[in-house]
Amino acid sequence: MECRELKELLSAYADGQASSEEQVLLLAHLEGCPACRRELKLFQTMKTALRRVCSPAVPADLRAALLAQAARRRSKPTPWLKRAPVGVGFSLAFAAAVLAIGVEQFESRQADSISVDAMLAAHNEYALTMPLCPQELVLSDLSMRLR
Amino acid sequence: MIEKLINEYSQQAYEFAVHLCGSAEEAKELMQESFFRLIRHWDQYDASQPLENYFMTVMRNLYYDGIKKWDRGFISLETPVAGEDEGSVLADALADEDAEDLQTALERREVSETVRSVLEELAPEYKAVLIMSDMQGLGYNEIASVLDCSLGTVRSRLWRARNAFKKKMRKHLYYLRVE
Ligand SMILES: [Zn+2]
Repeated sequence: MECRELKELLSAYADGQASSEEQVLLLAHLEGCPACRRELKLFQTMKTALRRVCSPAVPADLRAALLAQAARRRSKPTPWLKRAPVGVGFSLAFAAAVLAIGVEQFESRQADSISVDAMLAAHNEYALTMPLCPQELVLSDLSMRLR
Repeated sequence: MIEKLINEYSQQAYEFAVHLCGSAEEAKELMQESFFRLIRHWDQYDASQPLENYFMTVMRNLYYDGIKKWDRGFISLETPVAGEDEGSVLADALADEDAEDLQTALERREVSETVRSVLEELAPEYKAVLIMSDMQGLGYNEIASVLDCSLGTVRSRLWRARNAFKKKMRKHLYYLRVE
């Protein structure tokens, strides 16, 4: 077996993801091939080097924000929203519904100085473009939620 | 279930995001937006996949959508850059010459910063598999689940990612020597 045919296998072997038949094949080759032995060693060293790169801890405020979002979802009474048509109709129904039931669902967002109108406008665009939503909209929506 | 995801897997997800985006600020945005989508499209979640993997899938997709939109200069998510892939005999031959240098450099602990910047420069698909496999220690099954691809694809992509990594690392070392 030629070296070129084994390159991919070398990488998988370094990951401990080669099958036992492949291991037999590879080990027999490595026995007589210094170049592949060097390559394997390099892959292993690369793995170690990557593992050593520090990863920052998840920021406490991010974790808190996610938990708050999860809690909000839990407390949200949405059964009839699910029945609303998707698209423009959905957004209109959503807007009407929000106005009808009051704004307490958005208290936290309002507290962050986001107007309900702006929220709904963003939501409207968002709903129209989901699921493949352009990034600018995602980000504008996101920055509003973060503000 | 969602609280469990946050409490037990937000660190793993954040690491993935940070190394994918290359900045804490972007990682935070990516996490929040992905979480927002996860909740919003909860009905799309197939419970046979672990939720933490699915959340990474959402993050990865959103990150790629952003990349495609912004066109940050990547040629393609999938197409390997010339010379990084099989068929480049010359590149391989040249590579052997300083294989020892590369090996020695990677063994030094101070090389971490360089490793991080090299990773950051890689194409997103390569970055994603290297983060999951080498930094987070995920197995091929888990990676395939996140990327929604076959085990064979994970294997070949990792190999290509390592070649790309080697090539860029070599370039960095060359410039370090020149300076
Ligand atoms: Zn060989």
